Amino acid sequence: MKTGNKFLIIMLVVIVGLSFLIFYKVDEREHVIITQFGQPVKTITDPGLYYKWPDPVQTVNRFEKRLMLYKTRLIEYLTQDKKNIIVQCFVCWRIDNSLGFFQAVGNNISATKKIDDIVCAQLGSILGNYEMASIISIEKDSVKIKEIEKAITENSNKKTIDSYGIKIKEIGICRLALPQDNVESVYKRMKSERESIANKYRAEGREKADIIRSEANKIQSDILSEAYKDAEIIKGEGDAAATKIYAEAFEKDSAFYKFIRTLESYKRIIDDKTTVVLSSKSDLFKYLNKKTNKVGK
Amino acid sequence: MTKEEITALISSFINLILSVAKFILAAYSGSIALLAQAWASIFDILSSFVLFGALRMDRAEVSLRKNSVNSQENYRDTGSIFKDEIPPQKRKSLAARHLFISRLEEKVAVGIGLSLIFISYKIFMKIIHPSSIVIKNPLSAAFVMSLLALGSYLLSKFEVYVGEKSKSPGLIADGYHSKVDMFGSILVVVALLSEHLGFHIDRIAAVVICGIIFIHALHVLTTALKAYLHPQEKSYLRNAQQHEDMLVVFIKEKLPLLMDRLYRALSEKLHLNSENYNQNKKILNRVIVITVLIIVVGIYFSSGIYMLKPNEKAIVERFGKPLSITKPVLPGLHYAFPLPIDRINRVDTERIRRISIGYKASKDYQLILWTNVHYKEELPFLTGENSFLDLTMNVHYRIKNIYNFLYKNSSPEDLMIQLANTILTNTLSRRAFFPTITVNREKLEEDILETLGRKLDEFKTGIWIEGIHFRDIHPPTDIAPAFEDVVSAQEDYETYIHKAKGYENKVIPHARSVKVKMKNEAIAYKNDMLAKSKGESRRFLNQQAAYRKNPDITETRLYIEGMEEILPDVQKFIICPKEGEKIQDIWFFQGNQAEISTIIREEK
Repeated sequence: MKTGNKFLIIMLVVIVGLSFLIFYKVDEREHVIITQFGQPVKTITDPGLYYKWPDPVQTVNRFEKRLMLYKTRLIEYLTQDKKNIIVQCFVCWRIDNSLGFFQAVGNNISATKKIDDIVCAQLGSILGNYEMASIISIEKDSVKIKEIEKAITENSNKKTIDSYGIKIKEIGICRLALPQDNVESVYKRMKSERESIANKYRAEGREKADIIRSEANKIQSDILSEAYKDAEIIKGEGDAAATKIYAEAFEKDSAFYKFIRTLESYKRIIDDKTTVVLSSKSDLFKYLNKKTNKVGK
Repeated sequence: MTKEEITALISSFINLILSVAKFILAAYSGSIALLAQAWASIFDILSSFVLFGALRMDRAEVSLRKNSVNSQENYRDTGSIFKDEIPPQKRKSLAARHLFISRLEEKVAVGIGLSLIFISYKIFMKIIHPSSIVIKNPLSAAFVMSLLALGSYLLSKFEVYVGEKSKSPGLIADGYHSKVDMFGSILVVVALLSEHLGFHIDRIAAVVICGIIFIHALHVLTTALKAYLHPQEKSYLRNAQQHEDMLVVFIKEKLPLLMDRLYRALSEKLHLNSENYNQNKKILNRVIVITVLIIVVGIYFSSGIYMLKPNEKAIVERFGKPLSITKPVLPGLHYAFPLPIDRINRVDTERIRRISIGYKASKDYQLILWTNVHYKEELPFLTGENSFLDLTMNVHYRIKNIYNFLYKNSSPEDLMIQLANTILTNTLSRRAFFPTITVNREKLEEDILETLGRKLDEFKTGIWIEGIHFRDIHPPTDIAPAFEDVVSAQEDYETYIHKAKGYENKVIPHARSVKVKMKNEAIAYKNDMLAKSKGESRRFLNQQAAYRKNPDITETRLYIEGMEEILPDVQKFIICPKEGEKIQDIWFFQGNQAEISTIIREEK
């Protein structure tokens, strides 16, 4: 190869190498701040291809333009009515003033730490102004979570927007929980609620069952007593009719009736277990004495 | 110390500095290729030390042998010289020393070889590890690395220069070594630069360097083995240093041969005049260079052809600026300028994606029952009554606005999860437990869908919610049995009532039947009475008519017949009273006979 060729190639390599150091892209997703020996000289917000002095002289600092998400840890707070609650928030933020952000915060990691500090403090102080019922309640218009979120967002934003270059767009409470001890007691309460409902069902069941039973008993006894009544009436009719018939017949000769009826009843009354002591002078045995009993006399 | 030794020492020292710098740089940038290169250089130094040691021992041996009268040539030619010329005692110590030295060298060589294999294995495992490699500050690392490459280049020049001057093959070999080192460094620089441009070839570069290390290791091991098998041929290890770099051998010796063959073949094919061979060679050289260049440029520009699948859309950026915000590139075959000019951001927009909220799914499919733990973890929500509720929700969504999805939020899908959690927390904290769990589920789904959709639009996430599905809502597993007990209590309630109804249904019909029975009995009684009375009165009347005809006789007959009927079975006592004594007939009904006897006796 000729020296000229060699030179050309070396030049080409040098130019390509330098172009990497001189030209830089700015993405749609980012702001860029150019620093010259550490001093910010230019802020670029529009995407495209730009140039600068090579690296030790001018440096590219890139900052995210998009909304970013941060999630706080679960933190326990106290409400105004001295009740503990565990809250977790998400914070939606973006870099508002990239130069201010660059100077005050530097990078996203340190930014989230600072946001965490500010938001957690705000959350604590604002939750302290509200009662538990404004967080958790079934009463209408009692829950004010939106109001709380708005207040935290506004207060935090006021702190970050000027001095940190961070705009906090929204803070939302993404999780609510109770401390473990409270959880246990809530569980206990829920359990006893259920138990009382279960007991109520069972007791009511028994009650209804008893009512049905006793009603059935009542109806049964009504039916039976009415049946008895009817039967007695019918029997009485029968008796009456019979009595009448008997009377009509017997009245023709009451003396004779009395005689045979008595005899008949003797037959029934006296059986083999009866012991009789009879006088020999009675009518039946009058013929046993020869003196007195003379046939045909 | 000789000049070569000093040079070897200096070059080792410089190499040490270079490799330490590479290690620092590797830690600074996080590039695996750089790390591999650093390891390769540190073992180069070890090889240099081995060489240094070998040089020194050579010298020591030569002086020893000179003392013992023998010439170096004799020693080199045969092993039999020991027999004749060295006194037995000295011979023994020399043999021992020889053995010791060669063994030490071999041991070191084997150690280096094994360590190299281990290192290459380690690096290879790191390369194939699925975690993504994040390279920080690729540009400055590349800059420093190119300086180090330059250092290696200068060092190799220096070593070769001194080596040629002092005719030391070891030093020349070391010089080649440094050159290979330089190539490795340049490869790393290329990898870092392409990383800066968005080509991720760090792994590929690392694989190449890893391969070089591995070949190196095998070579060192085989030569060590050879030296062990032929202890007399001491030069093995040193000569090995000369040819160890296959790459150098290839570039220096094999490549020109190959090229020559190619030229001849080509000139034959093209029927060129074989007389002006050199001129042909020049032309062909140029042709080859241009062809290679065209191919490289062609490959570069054709890398801009891309295809979008039916479910994909893309936004193309030119120097970081999206070409169109509202009209993304649709599926099909397209062309964009290759990197670093254009960049294609493709997004799967049509496929419905799915995200689970409120739980972490476990791998095995368990039954979703209240009482068994069916997910890895469920996050309870607080309801308005201050009770917990385990709610699991799946969100189906797709990307509606690719521009917003890519450029407005750094993590839109995470944001969606957080928003969904927030909306759920907010909604549930004002709702009662049971309505949520039973009725109004559909309404709740609709509400959340609407709110979430609105929020996602407000945040410009570009996400469109297709649907929200509650997988299951239930009380926490710990207390679910209590809830299920309520259901069984409801069942019990029904059971009790059914049982009572059963009783009712049994008792009342029975009573009714008894009623009918009683009535019939009464009627029967009545009829009986009537019939009896009629019959009896008729009988009486007939009897009476007969009686009236002869009352006295009939009465007596009836009386006596009656007595006959009564008295036979009856226990009877007949008493004859004294005159004038009035005695009454006494009837004991059902009395004890013995008792009655005593009563009668007493009366007597």
